[in-house]
Amino acid sequence: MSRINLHLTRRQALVGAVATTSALAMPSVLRAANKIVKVGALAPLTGDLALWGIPAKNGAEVWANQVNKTGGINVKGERYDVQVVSFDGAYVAEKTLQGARAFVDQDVKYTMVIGGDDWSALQDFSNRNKMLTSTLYVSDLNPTSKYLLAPVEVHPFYFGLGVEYLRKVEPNLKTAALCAQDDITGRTSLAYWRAGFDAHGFEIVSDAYFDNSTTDFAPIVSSMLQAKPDTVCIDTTYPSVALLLVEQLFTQGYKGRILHAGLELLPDMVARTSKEFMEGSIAFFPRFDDPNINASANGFSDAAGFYKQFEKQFPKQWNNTSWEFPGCLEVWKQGVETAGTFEPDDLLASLKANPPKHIFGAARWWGKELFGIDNALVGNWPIVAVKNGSVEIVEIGDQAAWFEAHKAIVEKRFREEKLMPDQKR
Amino acid sequence: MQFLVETVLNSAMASASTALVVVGLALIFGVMRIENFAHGELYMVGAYATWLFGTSFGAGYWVGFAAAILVTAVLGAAIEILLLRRLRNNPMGALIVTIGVLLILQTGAAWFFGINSNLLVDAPVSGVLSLGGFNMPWHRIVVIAAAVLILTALTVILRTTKFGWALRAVAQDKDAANLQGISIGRISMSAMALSAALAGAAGSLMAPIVRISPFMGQPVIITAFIVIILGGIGSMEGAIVAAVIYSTFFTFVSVYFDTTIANVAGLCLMLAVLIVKPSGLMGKAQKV
Amino acid sequence: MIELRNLSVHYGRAIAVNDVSLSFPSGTVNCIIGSNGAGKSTILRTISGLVRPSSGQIVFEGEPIQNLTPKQIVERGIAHVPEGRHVFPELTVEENLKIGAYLRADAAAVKRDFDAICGAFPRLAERRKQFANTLSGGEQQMLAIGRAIMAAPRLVLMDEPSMGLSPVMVATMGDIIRSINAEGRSVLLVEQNANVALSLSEDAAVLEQGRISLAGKAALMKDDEHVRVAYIGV
Repeated sequence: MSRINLHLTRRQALVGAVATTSALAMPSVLRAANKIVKVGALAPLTGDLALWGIPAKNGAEVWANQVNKTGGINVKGERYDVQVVSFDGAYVAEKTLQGARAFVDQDVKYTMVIGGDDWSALQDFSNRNKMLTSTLYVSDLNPTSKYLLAPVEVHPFYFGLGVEYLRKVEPNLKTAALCAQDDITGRTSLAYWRAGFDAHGFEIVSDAYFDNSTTDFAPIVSSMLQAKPDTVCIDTTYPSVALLLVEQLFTQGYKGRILHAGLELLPDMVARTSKEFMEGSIAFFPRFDDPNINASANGFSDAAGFYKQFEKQFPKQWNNTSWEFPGCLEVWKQGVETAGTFEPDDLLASLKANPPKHIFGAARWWGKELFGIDNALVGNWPIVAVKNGSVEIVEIGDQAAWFEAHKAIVEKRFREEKLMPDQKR
Repeated sequence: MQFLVETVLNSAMASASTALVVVGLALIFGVMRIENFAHGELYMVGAYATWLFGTSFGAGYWVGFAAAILVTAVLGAAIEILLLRRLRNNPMGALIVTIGVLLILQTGAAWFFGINSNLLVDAPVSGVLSLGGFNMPWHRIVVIAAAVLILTALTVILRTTKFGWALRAVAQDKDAANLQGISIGRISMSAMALSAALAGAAGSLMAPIVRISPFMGQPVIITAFIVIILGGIGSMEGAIVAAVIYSTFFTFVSVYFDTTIANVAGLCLMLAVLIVKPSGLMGKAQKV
Repeated sequence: MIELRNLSVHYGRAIAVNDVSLSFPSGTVNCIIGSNGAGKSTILRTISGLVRPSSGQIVFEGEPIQNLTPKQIVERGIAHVPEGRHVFPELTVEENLKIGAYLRADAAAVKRDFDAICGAFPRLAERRKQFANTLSGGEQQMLAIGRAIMAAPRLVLMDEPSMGLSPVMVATMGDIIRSINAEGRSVLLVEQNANVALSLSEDAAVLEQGRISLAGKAALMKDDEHVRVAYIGV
């Protein structure tokens, strides 16, 4: 995209943009009595990945409103209201970096990013400025970024649990077909899926990446089904891509379960195939209007209430990312209230010493073997399966335990894709 | 065997869609000597128009299809009248302007419809044709049939109507065409409208099959340029033949290997043909 | 019936036609002769509207036409057979002829004229369905003339019709021009080959570096010493 010529200096324009955005993001009821602490959502609000960035930012705002309504954050007796400041990084290196600089200028105490390409852009700056940051991509973690945490999403580490569940309910299946888009997300997650299938006695009979620009998925599905797999895994494909893959699987006569990270467009999948076809398919993101949600998302104060509030404020925009920034914020809030400070070094030390609750329950700091640093907050994760057209929680598993049990296999598969810490740059 | 038949039919569908797009591009190049870089975006506009009128306004797929053709034709005419007409003596300028149009259309689509590419267009005929063990969705057959119909109609127009002769005349010799009283402006505008409508029709036909996003035109235009070079610049028959060869090759390689390899292999195919026949399969030496 | 009044045409800063005044009556064949680059083609292209004059007027049948578009010129009844023929290479002979009648609405009249031309040019009729780029030079010249006639013109402009043709073909060309004239159409010819042009024409003019150096009856000009030396090579 071309740059627009500003007659202001860049810094003025930046501060102006951030001030305007944050003014718009301010909660409607602002108690003048409480002090303010700023948290930053540095996410793609335009561009291809806005479909993750916008709900994440909106979720953060809803969360901040809720917290402020119930008295704000308690730091050694003083109450602080949370103000969400956002900046559109557009998943583009330069813009993301601009955002980071703006956040430092604005004295933002906690930054949230989606992760992946946008983290690599701001890594050096963030390290130098001790910006406590959360990412949704565990693969971003590395020994030099000690202020980077992965407190919520541990994609792809829940996938092993999914295969374990599949094996539990389908002891006789033998073969699996896998596909994913050819980018860093696809490669990392497929490596973990492969480990999962290896660990539970499946033979992988078809394993392919497809180009990100693919528009017609019939050939890919033909290729997978040529090997006559008992089960099909479509990894973390974009929602609309998953829909087209599912449609093709149905058309081309596949019968069996489908494993996918999110099954975001399940209602459309059912409409284009059938309830029977989708029955039993497996995913990893529960509905927040599932009656059991508060029980499983017990690290989140009132998940059901949060969902209701989000739906009210942003109707029909809920997707799997809507609760991820709030999840990061919950972890941070616990840390701040325990440590009694916002300052990064003390807060980090306190967090490590007193692992906060993860959204899905008790958790521990993990990751040294795969990332060189224990900055991933890992605990339980739910497995959902499609029952009568919508997903229901069928199992809750311990991700770290699964990893411990199958470490050797995971390492082998990660080495193949050059993902082990000693293989990275 | 079933697998092979399925792949052949999918190749036919890919050929149909590619041929529609490529013929439009070849038409513009012939008549106006311009490579229209925004051609893929006209395909994208066709898909979005189908969604808007067919799904969002609920008027049904075929209304959406008609709307797609109309909208893209008007857009094509507008591009010619407002922009390209002023750049007739400046082919480099015209090229750059089409890139500008590409960016405007992409950004406009992202602005109006959002980046969230979950827009769904339902096919006008659901269900599959079951033949001896394999299933071909009816809509894919519709795409093939529609493309054949449209290209046949186009051929009839070009071969038997005064308008068609005028289009070909302008493409062959602009000065001489002028001397017969043919209005170059009118013909250019009509050619742009026709070319855009072809791209829009392709986008509309493919809308139920592919992922709709503001950037969906990008791979389309790249394929189209490869195919035109393969077929030979200046030959519409060559473009259609090349579309079939390339799409079939690409589909088969996608199925038996994967799509990334298919992209590379497709380019290698183009290079191989050019080494043997530099002007493309049916191209002629360019009169400069 | 066609009159050039103080016509000047510039290409950039170069003068191609310099203050030319000429007048030719209707119903006759007339010519402008001159060597390469004298400005003859430019005059024809200005009459048919491809080029705009910088000053002066062109009057046809009493009306000024110097600012009309090529389409309007054809509508007024002037057809131009360009230098180098310029038939449409990938249109058939039939399509080439029919496109000459692009602006005409009367389908029956167009068909009559088409049949007449096929009758007059049997070699073209034989090759009706062939692409024009498969024809010989002479056949293409016939086709270009036929195409112009299909516009039902009252004045036919011809730019070097004898160029590149064998002496036999040139003679045939002469016959064709005479028969066109016999139908009641005027012909304005420009040529380097002065012999042929002058023998066909009633009135003539000599153009040298954009200026008229001589004008008058063609028959007399043939005997003019200067003309003979410069243009007839005798």
